[in-house]
Amino acid sequence: MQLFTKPEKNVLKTKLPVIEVATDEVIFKKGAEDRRMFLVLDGSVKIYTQGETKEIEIAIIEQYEFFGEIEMYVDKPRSDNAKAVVDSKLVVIRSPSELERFTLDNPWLSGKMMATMGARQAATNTLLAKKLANASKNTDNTASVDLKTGELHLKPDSNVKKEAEEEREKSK
Amino acid sequence: MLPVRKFKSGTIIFEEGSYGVMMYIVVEGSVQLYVINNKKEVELSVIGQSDFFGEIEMYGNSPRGFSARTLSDTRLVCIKNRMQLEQFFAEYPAFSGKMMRIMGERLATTTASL
Repeated sequence: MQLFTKPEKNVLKTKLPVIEVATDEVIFKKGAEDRRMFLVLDGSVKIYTQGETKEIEIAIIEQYEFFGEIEMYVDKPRSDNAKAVVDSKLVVIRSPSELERFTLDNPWLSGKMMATMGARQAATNTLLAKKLANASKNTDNTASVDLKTGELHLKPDSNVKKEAEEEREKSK
Repeated sequence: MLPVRKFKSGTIIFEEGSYGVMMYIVVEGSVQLYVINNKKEVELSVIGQSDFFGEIEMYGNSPRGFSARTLSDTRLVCIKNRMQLEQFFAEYPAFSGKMMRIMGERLATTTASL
C-alpha cells in the first residue's frame, strides 16, 4: 500500500446535504413516502413503532451507522418512525449512486458502513431462511429467492405462490 | 497484490451450511449460487465478472447460506478479512463504491421479500 493514498481519518468529504435535528425531533413517520437514507454523523436516532400507549423501540442508530436505506432502493412507504435521541447531524443520501459516490469519497467510513450492511444482511437472511423452510414444509414445492431481484420463487406454480401473491396484493 | 486463484469449470467453492469467512471477487468467468431445497438444486443467481459473493460471512460468523460453483473456468480474488478488503479498495478505489451500492441493493431486495 502506498502511504500517500492513505485516507485522512475522520475528515468528511461530501457535497451531500447535512441536516441538523434537535432532541426528540421526528425525522420521518411510518407510512411516509420518503426515499432518503441517513447517515448519523453526530448524535443518535431511535427507530420505533407507535404502540397504543407508548413507543416501542426497534433500534438505536449510533454515530456512523445509517438508516432508511431500504426505501432508497425499494419504492415503498416507511415501515417505522425515526426521531433524534439527542441533537444530531445527519448526511442525507438520496440515491444509490449518491451512496456510491459518498463511499468513494470517504474511505475511512466505508469499512464501518459495509460491516453494518453485512450484519443486517445476515440477520435478514436468517429470517428469510425460516420463511422459506416453512413455505417448503407446507407443500412439496421448492422455494428460493433471487439475490439480484429479491423475488420469491416457488417452483412449480403452487398454492403457496398464489398465497404469496395475494399477500403482496393485500399489502399494496 | 492479492492472490488470484484459478478454478476449473464445475468446481464447488463452498457448500451451504459450511463455515467460511472468505469473500470472492470474480475476475473472469462466472459462479452459480444455489441452495438445495427438497433434494433439488435451486439457483439463486449467477455472479459474473467484477461482481462478488461470500461477503456476508466475512462480516459475521454465520454458516454459508448457499453453495457456490463455477460455471466456467474462473479466476477469483480471494479475500479473507476486512484488512485484505481495504487493501483491495486501495488498489481498485472504484470497487468500494460499487460494493456498497450492491450490498445495499441486496439488503433492500431481501428485506422486501420478507
